[in-house]
Amino acid sequence: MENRLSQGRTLLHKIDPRIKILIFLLFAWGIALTSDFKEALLFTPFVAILLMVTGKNVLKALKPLLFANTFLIFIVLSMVFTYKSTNMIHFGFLSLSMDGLKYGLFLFLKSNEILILMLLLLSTSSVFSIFHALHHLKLPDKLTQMLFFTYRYIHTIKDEYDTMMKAVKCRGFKPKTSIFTYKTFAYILGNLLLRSYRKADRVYKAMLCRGFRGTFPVYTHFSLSIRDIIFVVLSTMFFLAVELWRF
Amino acid sequence: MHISEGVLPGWLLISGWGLTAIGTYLGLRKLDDREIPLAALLAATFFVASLIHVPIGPASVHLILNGLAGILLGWTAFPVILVGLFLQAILFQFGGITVLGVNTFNMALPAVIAYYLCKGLIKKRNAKSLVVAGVVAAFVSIMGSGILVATELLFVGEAFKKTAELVILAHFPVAVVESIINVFVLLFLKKSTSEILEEVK
Repeated sequence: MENRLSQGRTLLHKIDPRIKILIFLLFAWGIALTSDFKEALLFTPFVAILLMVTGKNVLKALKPLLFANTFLIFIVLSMVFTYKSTNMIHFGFLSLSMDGLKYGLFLFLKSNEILILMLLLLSTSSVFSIFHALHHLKLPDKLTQMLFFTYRYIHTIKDEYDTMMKAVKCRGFKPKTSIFTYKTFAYILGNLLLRSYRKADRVYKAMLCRGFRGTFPVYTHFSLSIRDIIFVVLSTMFFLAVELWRF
Repeated sequence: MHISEGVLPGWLLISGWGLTAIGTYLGLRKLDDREIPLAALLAATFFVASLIHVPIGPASVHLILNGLAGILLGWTAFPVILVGLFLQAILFQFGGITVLGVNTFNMALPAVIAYYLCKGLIKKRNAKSLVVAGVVAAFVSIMGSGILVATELLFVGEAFKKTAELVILAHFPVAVVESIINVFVLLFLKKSTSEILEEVK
């Protein structure tokens, strides 16, 4: 489980993760706070430019976004069919609302702009370098350490879960709607929890043996290059241009 | 249910982040160095559990287990759920960053309420009170999350009334499945390692 686009050599991969996080936050909040269709459209050139810079392999990564969008499709459909407005179009018993459709598309556009930016700016670094950058951006130490450990152990626990699932399947277990199925899943979960408690104890002892004093030392350091500064200046100029256009 | 990016108005996004920040601060304050790996491992376990799809009738639902997380973690449920949802956002693009505050609050506040309702029952540690605790935790946390999501959608506009009703309805079967799972998990923990339940403060 690694970020979808973390392997690659495009311009976006080379930019400092700290910069990418800050620019992402600027645009994500900018887009999330727009209440006007035109303004949301003005952000699309920025998204399009970044998409072009990253090239072909993005298209593959965009496919899973469809699944992330199920909530959104649900919202858009319910807007189209239940919004009450004056310009309704009737098809037999169905009545579609044009205003609802427009509002639904507006939400859809905003949401996808932010998601694609997240994919382009956050998923082009490895997960660990994102955490490292968050540490430099003053996220509390305890929270950063939790992020590190959680991400580190998701794989281990997923492996243990897969092994147990394989074992029950070997014994002829087929998930159905029955108390027995739920009991089996509950016992598997109980085992995972139990192992987590035991493992946590060992991890803490190992940390103490290595002299843990509340911080993790890191051996790679970020440094800003000319490229990073040009990226910041251009992105911020674009952002300001869109925001000032409004007035 | 994750609310996606771009749907909620600004003031809701910002107050969601504010409340989540307070909850996370309270959760982290009670967490000493010794407990960091434990909180992280439980976060990883609940992350994996949320990938489990349990069949119910012709469909399947995925487990949320915020009630169980609440019972085992108390206020630490806030940072644990925040970390889990952040990872889901950057790895799978589920939910998002500007709504992360709201989504965390929706799941963690009912978890903390479940913790206060159930901790007395857990302390008794007989089978009957564990059964009650499991069911209460599931219904309070799942239906609580559903009601919070629905209320937020109503704030967006009257047009979301139908959607909000559907959201609450969709949470009901999950609560039923999860109450059964919670009960068996608690009974299992009592049988195998009662020290985990003893640690519930």
